[in-house]
Amino acid sequence: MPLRIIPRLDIKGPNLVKGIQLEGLRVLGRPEEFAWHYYDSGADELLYMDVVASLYGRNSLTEIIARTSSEVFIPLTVGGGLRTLDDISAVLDAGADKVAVNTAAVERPEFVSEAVRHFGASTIVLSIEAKRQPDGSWRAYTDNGRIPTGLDALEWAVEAADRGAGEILLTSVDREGTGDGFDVNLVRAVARRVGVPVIACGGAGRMEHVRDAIIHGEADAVAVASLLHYDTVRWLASTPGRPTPAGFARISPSSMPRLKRYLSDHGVPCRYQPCDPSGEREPAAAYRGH
Amino acid sequence: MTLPVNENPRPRIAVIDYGVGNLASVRQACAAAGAESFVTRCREELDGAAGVVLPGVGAFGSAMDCLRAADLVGLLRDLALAGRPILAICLGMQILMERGAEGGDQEGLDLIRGDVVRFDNTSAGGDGPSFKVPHMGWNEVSTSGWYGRLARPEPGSDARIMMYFAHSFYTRPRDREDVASTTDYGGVRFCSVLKRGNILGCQFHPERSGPAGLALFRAWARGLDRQGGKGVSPVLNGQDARTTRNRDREAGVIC
Repeated sequence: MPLRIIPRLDIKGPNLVKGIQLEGLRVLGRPEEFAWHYYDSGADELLYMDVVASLYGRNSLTEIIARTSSEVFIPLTVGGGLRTLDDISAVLDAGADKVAVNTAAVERPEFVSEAVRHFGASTIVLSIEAKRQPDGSWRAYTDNGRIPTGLDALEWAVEAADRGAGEILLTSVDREGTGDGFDVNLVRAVARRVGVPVIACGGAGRMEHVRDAIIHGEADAVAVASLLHYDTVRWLASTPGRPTPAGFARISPSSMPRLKRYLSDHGVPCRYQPCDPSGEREPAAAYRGH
Repeated sequence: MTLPVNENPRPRIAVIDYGVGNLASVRQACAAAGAESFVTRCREELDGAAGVVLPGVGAFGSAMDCLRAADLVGLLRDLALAGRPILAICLGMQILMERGAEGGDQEGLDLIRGDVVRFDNTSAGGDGPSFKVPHMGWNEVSTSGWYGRLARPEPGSDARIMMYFAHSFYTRPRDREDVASTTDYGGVRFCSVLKRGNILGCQFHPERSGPAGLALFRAWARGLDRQGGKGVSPVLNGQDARTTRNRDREAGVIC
């Protein structure tokens, strides 16, 4: 079965942002523009994370979700600040297909079981932010890797899967935003322990990193941010009137078609057809000039 | 010479709301396919619909409980048996069957003979399960059968058709003619499109399967235009499905 490549969009208010280690958040553009480009160039799914939601305790992406899902006909997973079944309902009603939960599940694991009963296993993704410990194990964190939970990440993944979560979204706190690659040992450890799909997230700086996460990490899907976003930023910048963006030294950006072609050529089956256009197309008229 | 009046207004599609499923996505796909849609659970409103979409995400038992609570079981069976075109998606397709296997036997809508079973990845080796459940992601839908003819009106194209799946259970239609396409996963070749007369079922989510999925919606909606709300009854030779099942049970065919 083809592996899934999932662009991850961190969203703050109306903006797509990217957390850079030691720098903070950088604004990259408008999420809808990026989402449409990714859909058009062959993304398998999209992942939207509301990065300020944990601050305010709520997810405020419903407008962006509605706009995206009316034009982008691939599955959309949304996370960030989802604390109650009503929060989940609101996001699904707006057009999301799956939700990612972390803090609410850590605080009350029964929440996972309730959400699964209410919305179905394939709708509920457990998001785990894992940080490597001195003894070689990994502990789970919340709030973008800031708050320790004391939970062993592997055991927590097993519990969540037992409670019915349909997928594990596994982010390496150590690697996220670095461009140094995935924590392949972490990914493989979780992928081998649970019977549900595992999405590796955090750290991809080159196409080879994505391949490693799949071949050596045994991930079922990979969520990437900088690797694709910096290519999209350059592509959007080729529209007259757009400012030239800053790059990020440790990232070798790639377009979605190029990434999938590379993966297909290196032993990773993808949903990709060689005759696909390169994705180097004009931005949709609706987004031009914004 | 007068030009003909446009006799093909956009077909009106009713999307059944019984508390489960992503209605927004289905409505968006209908719109992209050039059809009007509305959400309902009301018999009178359904009368005016050229076609009916039965979505569904979640558990077989809960879905049937919701349908019973909303008094929709009889209504859906009436619509189906009267020949109304129905597009059933994911769990919606599974509840068409006689019964599901989740948490003990549960009765489905009993419109298609067969049952529903779970992908089994529990016999783990040392390296963990060989495949993951739910079946989540893009997978190939066969085009050698009825679905292929729907999806590819021009012969000669051999591009694979990929659709997005998100399910832990799959249907096992008893009659092979009901299987319009298959997909391989977990060592099983399961039914990914089910077709019996006016009933079309997709195990995948056509509303989230990109251009290929939208093409399915368009083809189905175009068919509604032509059928004008009528279609072939799905039952065997006009007999009631339940009568047939009882007869088969007496004959020992159904275990």
